[in-house]
Amino acid sequence: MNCKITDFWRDLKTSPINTIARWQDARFLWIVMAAAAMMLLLTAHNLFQHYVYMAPCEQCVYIRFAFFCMVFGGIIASIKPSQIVLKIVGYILGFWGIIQGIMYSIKLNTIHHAAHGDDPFGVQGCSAEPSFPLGLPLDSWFPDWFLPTGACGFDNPIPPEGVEFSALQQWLIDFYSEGWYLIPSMHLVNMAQACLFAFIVCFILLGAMCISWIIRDLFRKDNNQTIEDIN
Amino acid sequence: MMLKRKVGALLITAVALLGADFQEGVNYTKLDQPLNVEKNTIVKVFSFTCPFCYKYDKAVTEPVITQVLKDKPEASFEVWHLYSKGKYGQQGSNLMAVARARDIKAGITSVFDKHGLLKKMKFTYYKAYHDKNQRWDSGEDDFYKAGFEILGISSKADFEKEVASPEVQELLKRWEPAYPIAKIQGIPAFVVNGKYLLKTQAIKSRDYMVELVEYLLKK
Repeated sequence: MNCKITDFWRDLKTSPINTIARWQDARFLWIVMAAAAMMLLLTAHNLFQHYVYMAPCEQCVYIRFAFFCMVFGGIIASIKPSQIVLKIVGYILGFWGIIQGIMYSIKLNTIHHAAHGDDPFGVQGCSAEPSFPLGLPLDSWFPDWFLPTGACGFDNPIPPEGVEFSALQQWLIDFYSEGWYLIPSMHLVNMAQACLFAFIVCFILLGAMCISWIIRDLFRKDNNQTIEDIN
Repeated sequence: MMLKRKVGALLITAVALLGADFQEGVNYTKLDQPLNVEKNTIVKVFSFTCPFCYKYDKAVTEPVITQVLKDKPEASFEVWHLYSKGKYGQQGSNLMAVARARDIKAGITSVFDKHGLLKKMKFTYYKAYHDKNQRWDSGEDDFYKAGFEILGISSKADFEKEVASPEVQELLKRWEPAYPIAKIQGIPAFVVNGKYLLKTQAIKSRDYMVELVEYLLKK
């Protein structure tokens, strides 16, 4: 295993484009994309929303939708990544999710600052009803995941009255009492910025995969030739 | 989105520099279905569960509207509570309507009057919801407690009787279009002359808002 990783690394250094292009022909990276997005979704939903009682706001459920696009993109491509149609669907869903996610995160960040600062101007806050891309009524199909129940720009835990919490739960509720921050004591990096960071990383990785694939298969004719010859 | 905001900001600067008109679609939206209100009326739609409504009520609405009414005394300002938002939206509307009906009866016309019950009601529930994170999980009675105290009401039966009174019912009926208005771009929502909905995102300062409202009143 170790040896294989060193091989990968050496390949990547000597011929990065072909190596990445070869990787995106395989399942591994696509599964990583789907699994990473799914992990973030489960953390948000199961840990923060249910265990720590941080209700999602409108932009937050849109960000969930964006991550779900990446999950489906990853799953569809990993059915058979060498199959060009499946791969294109994977890229489209992946990029679409990422770009939507970046826009939602930026908007959430602006709302967060307006909601927490002295200047409430320049934002629209949240709508009375969520509207998802393509008119999907996700909030009525899966309200537990997609119905915004939190206040716009706030993600403080609001635990129900009269419920006993475990020690860990109480600790998390106190830890995030002023909302989610990477470092709560300093109010450093809010949820929107953390999401934005995740989407940008995904954009760079998926971008590298896509560009390598395009360069290898479209611009290097001789390379193409050999692949077709082999096939 | 960023680009749109930049273009919007540029346009606003250009408008300010030229002293030209505000623009439909940029600074305000024209409603497809106008509200059935008198001329020179400014309507604000709000919910006590909405954090931006609280922010506006703390620092924006009163100074802006006071200025507008000073410049244009024939104008009038109304606040409509949105019944459809939050677990106790309807109950909240009932409390606010009873408070407002009593204010009107007592001759308190301005919603900013410091003796007004509506103002007291609004801020009591804003503070409970946003500052103290109260959600009244144990039920409606718990929710009503603070409101009943303001109104000096001891039983729910008395309250329901007052809600059923023609004055309160008339107000609640008047506030019904709060819902379609809120659906357009969220709340707080300001509608001038029943026709023009301010684009909240374009509001950059109190002065800007005063100018825009006065511009739309004249339209």
